[in-house]
This record gives sequence, C-alpha cells and structure tokens, in this order.
Amino acid sequence: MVRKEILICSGTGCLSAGSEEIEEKLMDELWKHELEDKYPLTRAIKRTGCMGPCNLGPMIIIRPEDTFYGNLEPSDVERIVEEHLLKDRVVYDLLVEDKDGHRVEEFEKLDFIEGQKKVVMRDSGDIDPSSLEDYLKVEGYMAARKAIMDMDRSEIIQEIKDSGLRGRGGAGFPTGLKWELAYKEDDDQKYIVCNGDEGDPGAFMDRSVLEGDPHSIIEGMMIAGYAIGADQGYIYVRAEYPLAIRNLQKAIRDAESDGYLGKNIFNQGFDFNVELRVGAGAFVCGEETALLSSIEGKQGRPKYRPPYPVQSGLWGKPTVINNVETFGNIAMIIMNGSDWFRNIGTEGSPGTKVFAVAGDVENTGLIEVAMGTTIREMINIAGGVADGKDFKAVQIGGPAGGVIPNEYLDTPIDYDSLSEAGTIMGSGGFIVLDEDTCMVDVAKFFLDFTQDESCGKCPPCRLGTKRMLDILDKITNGNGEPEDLDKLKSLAKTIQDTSFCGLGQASPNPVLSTLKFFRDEYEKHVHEKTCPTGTCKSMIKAFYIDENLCVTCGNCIEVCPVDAISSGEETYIIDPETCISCGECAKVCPVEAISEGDE
Amino acid sequence: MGKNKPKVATACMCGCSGCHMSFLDVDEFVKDLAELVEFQSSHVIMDVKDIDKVDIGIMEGTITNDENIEVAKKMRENCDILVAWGDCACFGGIMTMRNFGQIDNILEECYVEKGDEDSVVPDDDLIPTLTKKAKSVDEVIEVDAYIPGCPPSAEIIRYGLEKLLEGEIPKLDKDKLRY
Amino acid sequence: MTTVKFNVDGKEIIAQEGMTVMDACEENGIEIPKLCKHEALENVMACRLCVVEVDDKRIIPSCGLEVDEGLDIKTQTEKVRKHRRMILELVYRCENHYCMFCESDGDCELQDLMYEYEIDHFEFPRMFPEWPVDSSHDHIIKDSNRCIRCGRCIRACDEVVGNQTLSLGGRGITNKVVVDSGQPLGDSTCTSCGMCMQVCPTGALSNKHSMFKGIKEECELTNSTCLSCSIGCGTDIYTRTGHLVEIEGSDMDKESGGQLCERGRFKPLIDRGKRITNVIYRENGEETELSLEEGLEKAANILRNSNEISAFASGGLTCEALDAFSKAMRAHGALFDIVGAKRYRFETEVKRRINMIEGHFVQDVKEIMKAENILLYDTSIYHTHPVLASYIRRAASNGTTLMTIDAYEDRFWNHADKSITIESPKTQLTRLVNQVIKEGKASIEDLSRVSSILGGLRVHPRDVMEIVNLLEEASYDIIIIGCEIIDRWSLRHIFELAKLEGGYVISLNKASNQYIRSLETEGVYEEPEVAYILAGDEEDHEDMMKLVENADFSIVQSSKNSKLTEMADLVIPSLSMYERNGTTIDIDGNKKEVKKAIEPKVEMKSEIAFFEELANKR
Repeated sequence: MVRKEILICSGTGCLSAGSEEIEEKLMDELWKHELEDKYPLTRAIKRTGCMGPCNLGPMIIIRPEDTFYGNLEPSDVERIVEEHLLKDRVVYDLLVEDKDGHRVEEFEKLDFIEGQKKVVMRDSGDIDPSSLEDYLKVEGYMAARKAIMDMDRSEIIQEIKDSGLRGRGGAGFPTGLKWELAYKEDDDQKYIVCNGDEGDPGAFMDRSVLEGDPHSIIEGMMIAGYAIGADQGYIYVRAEYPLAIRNLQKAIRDAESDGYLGKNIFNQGFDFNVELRVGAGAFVCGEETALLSSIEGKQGRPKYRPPYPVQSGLWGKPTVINNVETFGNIAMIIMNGSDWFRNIGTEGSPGTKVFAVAGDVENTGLIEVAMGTTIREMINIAGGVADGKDFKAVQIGGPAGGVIPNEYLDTPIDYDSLSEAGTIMGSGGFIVLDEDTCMVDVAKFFLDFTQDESCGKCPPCRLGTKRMLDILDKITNGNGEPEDLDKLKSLAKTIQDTSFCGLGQASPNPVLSTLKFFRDEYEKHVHEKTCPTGTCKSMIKAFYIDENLCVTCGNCIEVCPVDAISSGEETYIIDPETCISCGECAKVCPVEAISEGDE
Repeated sequence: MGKNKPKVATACMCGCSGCHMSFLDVDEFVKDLAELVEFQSSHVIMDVKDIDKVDIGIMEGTITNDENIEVAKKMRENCDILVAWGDCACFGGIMTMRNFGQIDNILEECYVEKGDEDSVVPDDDLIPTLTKKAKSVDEVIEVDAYIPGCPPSAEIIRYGLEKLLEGEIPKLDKDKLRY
Repeated sequence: MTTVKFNVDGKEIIAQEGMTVMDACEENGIEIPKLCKHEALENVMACRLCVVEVDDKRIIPSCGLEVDEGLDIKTQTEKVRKHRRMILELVYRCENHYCMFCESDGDCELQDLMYEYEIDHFEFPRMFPEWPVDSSHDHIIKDSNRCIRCGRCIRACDEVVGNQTLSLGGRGITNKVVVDSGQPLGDSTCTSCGMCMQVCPTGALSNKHSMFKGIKEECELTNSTCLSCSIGCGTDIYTRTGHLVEIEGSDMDKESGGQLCERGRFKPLIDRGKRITNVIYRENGEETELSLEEGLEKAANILRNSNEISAFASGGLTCEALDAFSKAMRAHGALFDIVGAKRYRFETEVKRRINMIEGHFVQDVKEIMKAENILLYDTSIYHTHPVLASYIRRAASNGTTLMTIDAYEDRFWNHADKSITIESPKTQLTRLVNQVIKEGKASIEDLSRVSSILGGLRVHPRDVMEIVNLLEEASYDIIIIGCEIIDRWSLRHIFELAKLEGGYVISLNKASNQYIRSLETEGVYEEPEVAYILAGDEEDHEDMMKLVENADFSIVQSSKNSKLTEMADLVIPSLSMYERNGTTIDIDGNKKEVKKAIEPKVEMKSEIAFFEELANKR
C-alpha cells in the first residue's frame, strides 16, 4: 500500500470548530485497527495551517489522492478510517458538494480552490508549521540562500523593484522603493519590522500566514535585512493571536538552531536575529509609527511624519516596516524572478492578494487571487450569495474602506481601480452583504469600532467620530432629522482633512461610501422612520390586530413567543409594550388582520 | 410715527431676567427706542404678556419645561426675525447643569431627601412638565440671530438692536463677542 | 544659514531653513490659531487648529510643516476656517466647558479662539459627559472637564521639569490626562512646581490660591526675580488692589522653560503668617509697642552699649539691603554673617589650599543638560534648588548617566542610574576614589588593606570602581555638591576629584543671593551679648533660633510672626520679598533685578534708610 498522509487543518478557525476532537478520534480509530505504525504522528498525521475554506471546517485532506472531507463530526471518522484508509473507498456523503450539487473529490477541484492563485498561501494547509523539516521540503530558505550567497544587495532591491510588489498592508506603497530608501541611508544600525497587528475586524489573512507558514515570513525578513543592511528584525503580533505567537516562537527557535538565524548565516558574514513583540490590544498600533512607538516601550500613539521610518524609525534608526503578506511574497519573487511575478495580476498591481471572505456567502474563508480578478468573480469563487438571497454590496477594506454595490461588481481588484470606485484595497477584508443588511447599521458598526480604537490624540478623530456615531445612533433610533445627513458630510470632511493619522483620516469612509450608494436607505430611516431591512430594532413598531377583521381563531396566540396577545370577546389584542415585532402572528393570521405600525 | 414702526416682542423662558435688566442699562437709548419701535409685549417692560404678530422677537432663557416650548413655538410663529439673547438662549446656560443627572433624581433629592417629612415632589396640573434635558432655544425652534453674554452688556444689546433696525441680522465679531 | 522664499496669503516671506511655517508666519505678523503649541515645548501637531492650505490642495498643520522654496500657503481660506470652527466646536461641546462658571473665563485660550471664530451658538447639541475633578493637591486643581487634551501639561512635566508625572490614558473619547498610573495628584510623584498649570490654555489646571481673584488683563504685572534660592528664576507677578494674585515663571523658551518651584510660585500666596507692623519691646515679661523711630533709638542704644554683637542676615535679601545692614552692623562693631556664607567661606579655603582655579567651576548651570555624566553629592537639592534638580532629571532622561551619593534616600531614584548610600562623611568614598585615580586600580584590589578602612563605613570597592570608571570614560563630567555637605574635608576631596579628572563643579550653598561671594562675612559669636537677626521672610531658621536662644539680648527684624519673633526681646518690622526693590546675584554670578510688586504694608518704606540711620547712631 502506498503510504498515505492525513492533513488536518489546525488553523484557529478549525481549532474552534473542533479539529482537535477529529484528530483525537482519528488516533483512537487508528489504534483500534492497529495502524499506529503505518500512520505515525507528524509523519502521516499532520496538523497544518489554514487550508482556506473555513466554513467547511473541521476538514482533512488525504494524500496522495488529495481527497477532501469537510464539515466533519467525530462520528464520521470511523467511516473514513474503515472505508477510505483500509479499503481505499471514498466516503461519498462526506465529500463537499459544489454549486450544482455534485460531490467534489479532490481539494484542488473545489470551486473555492480552483479559482485561486496561491503565492503567499502556497504552503499553508500543506505543511506542518511547527516543522522546519517540512518547510525545507518545499524549497524553504532556498530563496534566502540564493539572495545571500549569489546576489548583491543592490541586485535584490532591483529585483523587488522590478517585480512591482506593493505593500499589502493597505497603502500599496512600492516595496522595492521603500527598501531602496532604507538601503541608501548611511547608518550601521538598521531594522526590519514585520507588522502583524492585523486589526481590521473580520480580517484573518495575516493570522493564517503566521500560523500556517511562519518560516516564510522569517525568510522574507532575512532577505530584506540582507538587502538594506539590517541585522535585527522584529515581528509585532497582536496578543489575540496565541497560536501564531506559539508557531512563530517555535519557528524562530528552530531557525536559530539550524543556522538560518544568528551569526554568519550561510557563512557569508551576515548576522540576522528575529525577536517577537506582542501587542496589547490597540488597533492604532497597526499604524506604523504607533507600532514602532510600542516596540520602543512607549504608548502606542502615532508620530508625525516626516521623517518617515525608512529614514528615522525604531529608536531613530532606518527601519523597513512591511506587512506580513508583503514579506510572504519575497521568497517567491527571488526564486522565480520579477518577470514571473509581473505576469500575475495587472500592470499597476502585479501579484496576488489574499482576502478574508466573510459575510453572506456560501463559502467563507481565505481566498488568494491574482490582482485584476473582478469582484463578481471573487464572489463566485466563494460560491455566491448564501441562501439564495440577493446581493446588496461588498465591504472591502475594513473600517477604512467603503462598499461596492451591484453596479460595480465588475470592478477589477487592484489598488487603482478600487480607489477609483471610492474604496480602498485595505488589508484584505471582504465582507459580502445581502439584501437583508441595513447599510446604515454597517456604517455604524465600523464607526463604533473606530471610536473605540481612536488613540485620542487629535480632536477631529477623538471627538468627530463620536459625533458622527451619535448622529448614526440618532438615525437608527428613529430620531433622525433631515439636516443630519448634511451634518454627517461636513463632519466627515473636517475629520478627513485634519486628522493626525490614517485611522482618523479614513474613519468617515464607511459612512461616506454607504451614504453615496445607499442614500435612499438613510432617507427612509430619517424621513419615514423605518428600517427597510428590519435590522434597526428600535424603529420597528409593534404589531396590531385590526379588530374589524379579527375572527378570534387564536392562531396568533399560539405562535406568539412572548405572550403579548390577549383574548377579548370580540377581538384579540396585542400589547404594544410586550410585542417584539417578530411578525410570527401576522404569518399565521388567516384573515390578514395583523400588521405592523400604529393603528 | 405710526404705522411703519417695527413691532417688537420679548419673552423670557427659564431665565434670570438678567438680559432684560442689562437691556434696561441702555439708559437714554430707551427713549429713542420708544420712538423707533413699538413694543407689543414684553417680559419685564410691559404688562401685556400675550404674543401677537411682530417683526422682531427677542428671547431670553433656557427651555426647560413644556410651557417654555409653547412660548418658544408661539414666538417663532409670530415673529419674522427671532433673536436669542444671552448664554441661556444661545447655548443653554446655567440651567443645563441639571443635564448631568436625571431630572427625576434631582427632584427627589431636592424635595424629598432634603425636605421635611411632609415634603413631596410637587405634582399639579398647573405646574408645567419639565423636559428631560434643558435646551438652548435653537434646539426647539429656528433662531435667526444670536447675542451671547451673561448678560450681554448694554452696549452689545444696543448694537444688536441698532443693526436690526437697519434691517440687518446682527452677527457679533471677535471684539464684541463675550460669553 | 540658508533662507527660503515662499508665499503666505499673497505676501512673500523669507525665512530661515528648518523653521516651521507657523513660526515663520508669526515672525512676519501673521497669526495662526493654535492650542497645543507652546514656545517652550516640542510640537506635537495634536490640536489640528493650525491647518493651512498648501498649494491649493493639501491641508497640513503649519506647526509641523517645514518652510520650503516656492510654497504657496493660505492661512484664512473658507475651507480652513470651516475646519477650525468645527474643531473648536467639537472640543468645546464634547468636553465640558462652560465659560459662565469657569474660573478661567477671560483667561482662556480656547475662549479667545471661540470669540475669534465668532461661535455664537452650536451646530450640534452639547454632550454632558462627567469628568472627574481632582482637588487632592495642596495647590493645583485638576479639572478634566475643562481639559482639551492638548498635552501641554504632559510635555511641560516631561521636557521642562523632567518629572514625567503626567501622561495620557485611555482611548477615544475616554482619553484624559492621568497622574502616574491613575493616582490622585496630591499623592503622586508631582513636585508641585506648577509648570503644568502655567502652560494650560484653559481652566483644566488652576491655582487654588489665585482662583477668582482677578483675570490677568485686569492685573498689574511686575517682572522680578525670585529670592527663594540662588537659581534666581525670573518671575511675572500679577497683583491687584495691592495684593498678590498669581506668580508665574517668565523666560518662557525651550532653553529655560520659564520654571518656578513650589516655594517661588505658591508659597507667597498661602502665607498666612501675621504681619509684624509695629516694633515690639519685651522686658520682664511685659510687652510694649513702640513707633519705628522709638524702635530705632532703642536698637541703637543697645548696640552702642554692647561689645560682643553677632549680626546674622537671611540669604534671601537684595544686595542693597545686605550692604546697608552689614555697614550698620560693622559701624557698631558687630561680627556679621549671612545664611549660607559659611559654606562659601570653607569652599574658598579649600580652593586656595589645593590651588584650584575658576576654570573647574561651571559658568552656567544649564550646562548640566549637556553633561555626559553627573555625579551628585547630596540629593537634598530636590528640595533646596528644585529647578536645578529639574535640569538634572532632564539630562538623565536624555542619556546622561546620573550617579547619586546620599546618606539617606535618593530623591532622584526615578532617574538615577546608580544610587550609593553612604553615611557621612561621604569624604571617605571620595578619598578612595581619588586614591584609585592617583595610584591606579591596584590600590583598591588589595581588599584586606582596604576593608580595614572600609569596615563599618559600608563603602564597597565596587562603588568606588564604578565612580572611577564613570569619570574615566567620559569627556564632560559635572560634579554637583548639595547644601548639606558643609565640612571642609568632604569639600576638599570632592574638589580634588574634579581637579584630577578634569571635571566641572557646581557647589551649592543655602544663600539665595550669591552676593555672599563679594560681601565680607565671618563666623559670629555663638553666645553674644546682642544678637541682631535680619530675618526678612525667613521663618524659624535653625541657626537664627540658636543665636537668639544663646544671646543675652536679641533683636529680630522680620516680616511676620514666628517662633523666632516670639523669642526675641526687640522685634522690628521688615519688608517682605515683594515689597523690595534692588538686585540679587544668582548662582552663575549674574546680577538680576528685583522689582517691587506691591507697596509696603508697614510703616518702614525703605530698609536702606533705616539701616543708614542705625549706622549713624553709633
């Protein structure tokens, strides 16, 4: 029998879905059948990083046939062992169905996976992130070797420049140019910093890379360090990513033991060390100058630029600070060359982008696509809008981004096209919203987040966002006034123009964007005091029974979950104080005597 | 003399009347005013309190109960130009100190906790109901001109009145604006 | 220096390279509104009020924008005015400002800007947040309701005073200024210098003793020099109807920061001592009040008929007063001394003995902030010379290595790199240091020989070596000696150390007026027939009390009632610090003016005249 491998997705998503029980059950079953030698732990049973389609977790892949079983329960494991492992028979009902209802056997053939172009996520889900050996098996540290042993520092920088790689943290600044500026600084102490503070709500791309392929980041940082002349690197990870922290610590230790970090790497006289720094729960520390302040032990508050970090960063020294995903691209570019990278994506935005797709789609999870893929295509890869609902909008870019409505579904995903459409690429948040979403509520959600995370240093952000939030609260509570929409706009302008840092400057974007494309929803909230999607609960009026139509059949009383309906002689009455406006009574009334609103 | 004199009405919401007192500080200018305008009704200057159609309406005081709201609405209906005098009318004033707490608790504390054993929170049809929060006048009706001050000095009030009589909306610049 | 040409509001401006647009505009008379900027502090671009339009497209805060050739700046466009109005309104109504019952009404930078931008009503309704008021401190009320979070107080406490007591805590709308890690101000590391209060643009930090006494516009302003210690900080004294309203530090620039300390800023305002207005004569338990003329006669009589007279003056008097007093006393044959002069005399002896030249003494105490290492003997300067202490803290925060040597606590524990505790005389430590420097490290390596000397004195060889290494490594060392060290041995060893190592010395004594360096003084009789004490504003000074106790007859000239005056046989009124005109010499030897801020409240209008007459009645 050919030796099989069982990969169990153990990213944070699947862990919380119960992948550990699956693993335990698997080991029990193997023991039962005396197969523990044939399937040794970490050799044949591997915990991997994020495989991608998170809503299908817990999930496993069986190699070499690449069979994918998803949405597993511990009770399914028995059959997988007995049928698939022992008898080589695929367990059909545990396979995942595609859009047309067919069962898909191979992981690569899933619509979710087929549409992707994996560069940064190339090995996540494939290798055991806590094993340096696994990493080496997939050409790990070959790029570093090539760069440090065979290339000049200026050559490396030129290659990155030629590739056209742009910073994946959201700003899209050309990475090669950043490195070159730091390289040109004349200072014998320089630093490389990796920004792993991923703070956007709903974004988990960086988390998955750090959890699933930590060595790739270390390799990227090494190459950067060699190129600009730095001997010290810091990875700043938010404290809420304990698995990433653990895997990074192991990776750093292993790399040090095997000589990939430390002194005289590859015998080329190049020293490089990496240290972890853990955040303390502040979104603002994702802003580069606040992050550097935090590493220095000071409060995480943004600093004025210029001077930029490449001239004067950590402790006043030239510092290159890049996002996790940016570093994730470096090794591939060095190995395959800038031409290869340029052939992916578009002219202005070469390469790929990893998105954390969430919201009202059939399949949620990580999707990496070539730049230039349209939004419509992305949603298709994710299986389309869930539950047969209509598409309303997609929110891209987190609290700094905007919404893209139906009319713009064919916008290609690249830095310039998205900014023309009035939003930003952001770090990779991609939230699909269906017809039942209240756009005012969406704006309120992001503004609430921003107000909570504002560092407080400048009045426009500290106070202005609070004022905008108050107005949105007013609108969603049914107290909106016509001037409020204009007030929102003028406040937004001041906040955008005068805030100290990017957090404040971008904070009005969700409001402005939803106001631009869904103004009618705002107006309904303000003028008609209703929420068209029924989301804003305080505006929903109690139900009432038209006494002229009521036949006292009693159906409504049976279904009312809060006993708000009492029986009178001639008619039944709903107590407006108790009614929660769920609408169940109206559904069962045979004479349509029940409706929402005032009598 | 006679029919082209602009008509003026003044009203005091929940105010100390200090702005009206300060107005009287214009001294001899009152005589000139009497020839230039016709006072239809006023808070301290006249016995007539009912508001009729006028050209210029002047309001002092914070809005703290429903009677204030009624008067304010009546003023707005009947006046072409509405002026807010004093910090209470423009910003909310001293009365807004009660906005830091809940009015019910405040009444409890004043009448029950700190009163004698028979004392209760007054509750009578004749007493106007207090609003939840004390407000500036422009939170209830639209205001055309603002003359802040506590009280605005007589010169400032005179300046405002003179501007109005010239047919302009007074706007205090940085030399005249004082809270 | 290269200059740069650019346009502001259509006018061409020439400015030095490296200046900010805001500074360049102000130099040319173009005002730009600001709340967080202060000339003594680093710019943080936090308030965003100074935004200007650049090249008709960008909106940038002018306090952070460096001048550049050809820039086109517009400071008053409709757009930036609108932004400023909105920010002002946001600040005013989101926090809890209410001019009508605020102490700072009329003295508030925020209010001035509200007037300038003609804000006569609010676009948005007021919020009513409740922020805490901290009145735990003896002198300062910290009211978060009035705070606009401009951060000036934090920067003042950090950059000027070197104390880092204040910082910003909390995020978003909950952001406020916190003390240490949330302590009440009255129970914190605050040094009570009041610098935060002085830079606060609104009423968030106010002086308990000045509240409601008058706004600055309505007060008289006198510029004078403080006589509480020898640093001689410049003071701006505000008075009204003949009473002190507030005292602020003048000389506000990045260099000196215009500091004052608790003694200079607050003490004069809380002085509750009963003023002595008449001459009091005590004999056989009976007290009689005399007129000034009678008092003068009495004093002259007693002096004339006595041989052993000890005259002792406070060090906080003007040069002219000290001169007149010493002349009068010498005319009557008295021995004359001033507080703090003994230490200075010892110093002079030591300098002569070891042939030490002036080159080893610091000419300007602000040089402390440039030192590489500071060796501080006696940390009581935290109390005796607080502003000097702030220079030391600033230096330590900016990389200077600070070593302190004290017998008790290290009052610089928060900033010192090393604290050595050694009982007196600290001379033993320094003697060993000198020995090592002279004879080499081997001389201390023989531990057995050393421990017989060390035994009981708790001087560890390690401490000795640390000091030696510290001094050897650096090129600019400053050695500071506090007032408590008064024995000649210690002074000799420390001066010797400076001479050996090429370090520079700052030697402090308790006299505020360093005129003691030129005025001749000597040790006085300890049990004289007559003791004449010119106490001025001093209260219950130890040496003065001892003299009065041991004298047969004591004359005390003081501004207010105290234990000292209660003990005296003849009490004569004196002027107070703010009623004097004259000069004082500060620690760097500079002559500074002391100007009268209030009219004397006693009959004696001129001390000089009084002493001249006394001299004549010999």
